[in-house]
Amino acid sequence: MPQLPMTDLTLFLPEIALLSGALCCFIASVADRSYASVWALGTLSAIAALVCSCLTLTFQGEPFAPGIYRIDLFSQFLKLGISGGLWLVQMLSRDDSSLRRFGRLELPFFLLLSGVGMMILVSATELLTLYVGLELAAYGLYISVALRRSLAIAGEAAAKYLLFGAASSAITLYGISLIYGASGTTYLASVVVDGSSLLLLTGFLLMLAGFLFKLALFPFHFWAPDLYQAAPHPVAAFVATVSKIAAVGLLARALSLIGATDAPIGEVFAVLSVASMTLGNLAALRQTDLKRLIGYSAVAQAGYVFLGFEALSTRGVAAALFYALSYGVMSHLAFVVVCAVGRSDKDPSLSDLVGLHRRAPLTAFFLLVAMFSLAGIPPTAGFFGKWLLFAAALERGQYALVLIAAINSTVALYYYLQVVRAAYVTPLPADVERPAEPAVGSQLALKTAGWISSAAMLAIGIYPAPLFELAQRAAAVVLR
Amino acid sequence: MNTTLLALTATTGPLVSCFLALVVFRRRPSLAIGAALLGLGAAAAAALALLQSAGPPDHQLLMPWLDSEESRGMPLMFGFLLDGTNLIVGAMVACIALLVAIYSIGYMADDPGKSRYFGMLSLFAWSMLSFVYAANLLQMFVFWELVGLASFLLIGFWYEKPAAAAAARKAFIMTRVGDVGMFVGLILLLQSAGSLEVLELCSSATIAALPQGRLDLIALLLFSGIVGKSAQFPLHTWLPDAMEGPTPVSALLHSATMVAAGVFLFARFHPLLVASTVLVQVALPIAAFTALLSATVAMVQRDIKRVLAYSSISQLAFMLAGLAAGGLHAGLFHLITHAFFKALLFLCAGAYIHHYHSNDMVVIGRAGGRNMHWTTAGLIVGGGALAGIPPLAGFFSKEGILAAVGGLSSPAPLIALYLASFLTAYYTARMVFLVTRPNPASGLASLEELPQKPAREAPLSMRLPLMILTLASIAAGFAAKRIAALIDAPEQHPSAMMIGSAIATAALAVALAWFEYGRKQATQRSFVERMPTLHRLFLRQWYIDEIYRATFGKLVAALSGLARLFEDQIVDGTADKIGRATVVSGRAAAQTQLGAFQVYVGSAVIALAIFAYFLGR
Repeated sequence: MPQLPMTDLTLFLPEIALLSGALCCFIASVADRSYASVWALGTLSAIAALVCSCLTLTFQGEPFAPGIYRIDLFSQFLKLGISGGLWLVQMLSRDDSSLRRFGRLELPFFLLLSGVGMMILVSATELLTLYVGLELAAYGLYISVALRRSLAIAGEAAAKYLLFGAASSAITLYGISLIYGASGTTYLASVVVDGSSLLLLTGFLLMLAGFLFKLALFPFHFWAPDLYQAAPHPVAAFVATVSKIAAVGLLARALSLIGATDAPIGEVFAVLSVASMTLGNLAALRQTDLKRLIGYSAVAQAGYVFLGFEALSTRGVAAALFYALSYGVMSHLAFVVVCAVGRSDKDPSLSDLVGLHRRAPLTAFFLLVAMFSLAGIPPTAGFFGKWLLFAAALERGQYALVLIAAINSTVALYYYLQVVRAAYVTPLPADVERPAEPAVGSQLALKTAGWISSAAMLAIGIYPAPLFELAQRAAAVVLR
Repeated sequence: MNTTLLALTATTGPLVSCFLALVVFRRRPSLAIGAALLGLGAAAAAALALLQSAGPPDHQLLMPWLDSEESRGMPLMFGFLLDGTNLIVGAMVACIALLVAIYSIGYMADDPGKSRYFGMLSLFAWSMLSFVYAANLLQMFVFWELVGLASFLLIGFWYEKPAAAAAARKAFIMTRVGDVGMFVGLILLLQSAGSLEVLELCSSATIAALPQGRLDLIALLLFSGIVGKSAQFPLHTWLPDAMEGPTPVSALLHSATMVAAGVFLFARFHPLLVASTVLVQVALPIAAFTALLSATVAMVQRDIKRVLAYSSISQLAFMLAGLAAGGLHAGLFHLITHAFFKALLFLCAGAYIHHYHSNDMVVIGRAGGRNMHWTTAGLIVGGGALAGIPPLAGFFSKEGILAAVGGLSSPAPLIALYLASFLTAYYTARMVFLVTRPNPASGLASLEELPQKPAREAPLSMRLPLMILTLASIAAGFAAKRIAALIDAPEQHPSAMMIGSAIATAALAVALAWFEYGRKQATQRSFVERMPTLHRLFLRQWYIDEIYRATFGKLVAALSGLARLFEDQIVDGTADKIGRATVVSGRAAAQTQLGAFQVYVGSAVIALAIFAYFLGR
């Protein structure tokens, strides 16, 4: 691999690739108005950003303004995930029928812009920069959510998401202002949350609340199932993958601020983690809408990720990062199936999956891999993710916590299997002749995305060492 | 040939054939069958060659797999462990898998999904073989789960049957309940012992270094996985339902693969597990109770596969009791002999079912099943082995277990096992008599119409495995010395009195069965049927499934209903109201502003720019 020189400009390469791609998309959508070209531009820039992230993986430095924006293994690792996820989501949106015809031209632009925001998020080491990134990441999504073909659903979901988002932003901002008030600085490097100042602690927790909203952790998860259900399939996939990766990065950064303190932060996290996984799993048990089910399962999965944060150790954060990336791939694969099965006006429900293995064996296979990985069955990425998270929590002696998580993962298995069962086992009613629906096979982009995700998931599951090592190094960097 | 290559062949051969059958030869079933036979044949040859060349434990680590802080600088290695225990079980698994595959050629001849079936069968064999030869516990766990996954797919193979679908899911979830405990035990073990290598965990130094409480906890967690996989009480109810799959699959699942995995794990970690007195105190009652419970259920069934399924649970309990009582040799020996005669019995049942399309022993008997001579010979030999009649295989291995359990201070487990042996011999003899000595005049009603077809012997592909397994069920009993030498554990011989009483028990049970089912004037009514309450209890399998449905099922449903209520009514309700209000007010606003939104934002931006310009000047 050719070594790039490490200059202020090359340090920014992934961001530049995405931003220029976004601008090109914008210009193309005004000038050309052909969806194919806008989509191709968006995909190209996502690939370019992915390549740039790989090239700059080992770079470190603080371009232009020291203390504000930091490039290191941690940020580049997450950018790798963000740009990779962006590319995979782009692949989903090629022929998606859930997007409004006249609105889909803008989708790549908004997604790319949101991706830029998330890249800023994971690199920002100063509170206001962080906030700018947060907002930039969110605005694109507020609009994309409303691009669903059926206006009635989209309007409500978009309004809900906007309201919750605005409220959480406000809380974050308030928290930031408290932190500034208490510590007199907005540079994260000089903020240490210890027991000395109640104001600082309050500010920190408020800021954290805003971040938890992004991760959709209980009790900040209310928007998630609705959004998953109502947003166009690719946008929901974006929220479920890229947005989650960025949120985990953001939380890891925030937790690095915690110094020696007697405040029971770990205990609070443990409670949130347990509540989130339990509530998410129980609510998912009864869902019949596939996207809503994935939404609730995402709430539960956020709870598992928090097992890693609860440990507040390098290992825990590494496990969380590992899980975030693997989870991104898993839920992407689930959305490949959603896009393949879903139609414009209606979300795929479990009964739409019936007989899938006959109609579209490849789609059914993707679904199988995705569900088993989400359930944490070896040899998939989900298994090692859980292994690392559980190990991190056990290291801290959290037996009860791990026990609850283990019980939860058994409960979760039930509904994941229900999905598999619908696709593989439930017989088609004899009198109903279902029309052969468009399967994955007929859409090249979707099919490719599915193959990439399932291969990645099995590869990580069989040989997890490289990714975990990278995650460990990244975690070591962010925790100082 | 060097052993690494042989081990690689034994483990990857079936994987290659799985890939070929599922992907390459999807639409060419005959090639898929060929690939599966080739892969499984290669695996069996390699496993037998490995067994022949068995020497001192050969720990072959191929590549670093996962680095972990707990392992203190030593990464977890992916590799093979070749020692006596693994080699014996590996050879047994590979041979039975091959025989079942050969048998399936005839059994599945008319099935449209042959490629898929043989692919899954290879997957099943691959995961089990990889599990057996694995060098560390994490690697074992990965394949342990794959075994479960493969059996999930195979049990549900006949999707058209809703019962098969439900059974597949039940099997998967119930075994997973145990696995989750095992998973946690695994992590704890890694943290406490600093290693997951099999030989290191079994060394006395490692065991001595573990604090007693921690050891007990780990042992119990590992045992929970074994309970699930080997279908012991209270996680046993999946196994009888699992016979909804094709019969050859049941043969494999009940003998060499799935359920054997649990017992194998116990044998593999025998020193570690029996070092925990708490575990022994828990495992022995569970095993003894399971042996008794499932034997009672088996004796009232009419479905031949159900009888065999419950007998599997009961025999697995025998093995676990032997192992928990310290009899490593006895448990392992019984695992091997049981694998052969249980595979034989299931394949015999399959031959009847294939011909008569009925699982009912009464129907098979009255339609003339005994005229399928090879099959009936197999049934009698297999049944004799199961009943523990000398000199068949089951007799010797059961003696070993009784000897091991008899060495304990408490007589209760021994009494339970004797009772279970009695019932085992009784229901086995009942099964054999119902098939071979039909008595249309007896009070037993035929539930189905008798198939009117002459008895015809099964095709050669099905007959050949039957003959081989019949021989194996006779010969395996004489392998005790060889196994003892390979695993380096002493044989245990019961006293003459115990042998005598065991033979007497079996003889008594067979005599009783003869009186009730075999002789000419037999009423073919069991003695339990005179006790209606007890009979109903046994028929309904002690109401355990009903209890689970009424407790866990209801509990989970109620909780999820509650969670949903919470989400829908309270949270969503409020959020919906806010959302709707916003939309409504937005509409109102839009009407007054008449879409001038862009102009407003535009002017705001221009104003801001001007402002910024003046500020920056």
